[in-house]
Amino acid sequence: MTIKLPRRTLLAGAAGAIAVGSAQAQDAKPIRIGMTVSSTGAFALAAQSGLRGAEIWVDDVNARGGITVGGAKRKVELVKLDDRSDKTTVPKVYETLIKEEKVDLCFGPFGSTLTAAAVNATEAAEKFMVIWSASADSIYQQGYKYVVSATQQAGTLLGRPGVKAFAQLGAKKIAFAYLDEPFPAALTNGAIDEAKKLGIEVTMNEKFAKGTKDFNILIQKAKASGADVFMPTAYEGDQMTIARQLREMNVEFKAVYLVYASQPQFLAIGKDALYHFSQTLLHERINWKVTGGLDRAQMMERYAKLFPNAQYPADFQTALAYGAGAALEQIIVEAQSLEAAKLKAAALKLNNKIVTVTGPYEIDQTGKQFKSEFAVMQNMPSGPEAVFPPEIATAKAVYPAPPYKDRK
Amino acid sequence: MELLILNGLANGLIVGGIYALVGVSLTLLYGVLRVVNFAHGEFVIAGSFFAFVLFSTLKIPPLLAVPLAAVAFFAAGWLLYYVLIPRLARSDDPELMSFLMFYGVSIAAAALMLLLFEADSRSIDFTFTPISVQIGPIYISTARLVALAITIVISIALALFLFRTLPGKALRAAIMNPEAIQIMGVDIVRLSAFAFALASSLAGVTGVLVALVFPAFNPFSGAEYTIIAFIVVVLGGLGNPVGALLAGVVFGLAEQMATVFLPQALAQIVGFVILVGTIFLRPSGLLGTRFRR
Repeated sequence: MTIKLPRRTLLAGAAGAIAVGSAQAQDAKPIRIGMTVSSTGAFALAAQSGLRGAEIWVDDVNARGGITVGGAKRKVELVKLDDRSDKTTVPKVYETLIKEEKVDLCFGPFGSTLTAAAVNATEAAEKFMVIWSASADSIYQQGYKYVVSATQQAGTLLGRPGVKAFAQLGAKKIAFAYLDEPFPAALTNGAIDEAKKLGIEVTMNEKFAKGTKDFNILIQKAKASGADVFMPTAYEGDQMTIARQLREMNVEFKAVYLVYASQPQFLAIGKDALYHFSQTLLHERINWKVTGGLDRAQMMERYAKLFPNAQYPADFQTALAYGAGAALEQIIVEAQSLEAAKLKAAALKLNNKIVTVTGPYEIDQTGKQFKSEFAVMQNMPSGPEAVFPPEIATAKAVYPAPPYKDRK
Repeated sequence: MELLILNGLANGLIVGGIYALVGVSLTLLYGVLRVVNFAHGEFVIAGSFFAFVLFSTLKIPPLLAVPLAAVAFFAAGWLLYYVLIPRLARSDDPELMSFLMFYGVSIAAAALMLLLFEADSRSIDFTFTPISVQIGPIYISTARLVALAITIVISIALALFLFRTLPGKALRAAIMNPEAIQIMGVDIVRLSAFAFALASSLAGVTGVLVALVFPAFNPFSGAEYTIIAFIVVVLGGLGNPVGALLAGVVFGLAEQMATVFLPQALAQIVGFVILVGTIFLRPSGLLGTRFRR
């Protein structure tokens, strides 16, 4: 017996079949993730370090066949454009990524300064943005709906481990100085709050402008304030100058905390780097049991394989970006969609269920990250060692640091 | 407070010496060629990288890098003059065109340094022994004292050259009246090439000193030195090398003393206040008028 279908039904069926087929073909298209990277300017080094982390994640996801969305495996394609470390350029570049490159969602640029400028473009276009390195709390106070800091802890929380470590070591007075930019300001303000909470006297709190080349007087002011600990926060170049000038002027504190002092390029300054405290998320003793993607050792292995000619080894920026990718993958799987609202809902639902190379994950409605706490490091003659928190410490902190004349 | 003031004065003199050298080479160029070298800061930072490469690859200490930079940058400047400047001379508005062209050169130079050295801050892992010298209650780094000594030697040599030698007098004459000097039969092209090479040489040497005094530098540090150079040039009087030397020291002292009495964040504003103040109150600069006449 044959069933005769009316012509209209046949046509509708055919059209439906074409539509389903085309939907499946569309599903198989890669997930396009837009990101800007600084090829020049002050943020170039950190941005490129982070990019390598993101690329490790993309390589790993694609090696596993992609991310399953709506029953289809979709590979990931990273669409990168240059932002030249310029906050006035960034919004236009993200608009290009969204309107011309038709990306499905975005990865943030490096740092708070650029991210704060970029996020208006992604929010206006209702695109989800995964932040991997912007810590300034101000970003999360603007009411943005579709941002999630997957791995980067909020700035006001960043300086706390260092202050806690100094409180444990017996420090009574801390002098603060910071570059007048969102990240150093947020870190310092959080550290000051923590110091006050722990009963440590804040003897100085002074900011300096971008482009400051000479820190002699600032260092002398900190010393004159009677501080045990000096905590000047800026980017690598300024911190290298401060470390050299401290030694040249023979100004000794019981401890100096320079946030980037355990970074490979900082260590290249040799003896000037010795005994300074810093912080990191990437150390051979920091091995979180990850809930998806690669663990630290695997990530390092993949880094060596993918970037054999990179000038520096992987650093915490690499880990932050890789971890953000791994978290994003789990968020997409949970959301089963690339729509910004659904991704944000999934990101909130996964609170305390994701662990990446940088640690546990917990955000609030604003997208601000509360976990992924940094470990405190100190540069010993043998190299950087983790000194705080005690659970992951690889060495006992040297406090007070030896006088410069005794540093070999 | 006394200690801070003493530190401010000592550092102001040293940093001011560096600023003086940064400014004097730019003002020489402007004075003789009417060329606004917007890439001057990049020339200076290229000198820092020159010292970095010599030290990291051949273990040549920065002190020895000073004469090497002087020769290498002189040669490079001479060559660059014949590549860049003759085209400018044919322009209707050479000053504006030179500004635009050297803006392009500054971008290209920074990009080239980025390509060669990547974006991270570099530092020469070299210190003098002892690393610092105690003078009264203050410590001054040996590197800074060495830089100050070199600055003084270069300044004296430059002054002697400009006032006691025939080529120096020709340069001054070219600054004062370029038309007249040609009537006198001086080869203005060759003299200009010499001025360009001398300015480049000074910039290279300054770069080595910058690497000693401000240990961290990167391919993008040049713009900051260009701004400093312009402040010094305006304060000292356009095209006046002696004025630039004096202005550098005045600016260095003002900036350092500002950090003593004001918050550090305001110190940079001092430079711009000086720049604007000079333009409004004494457009010819500290010595501009006297030198020109």
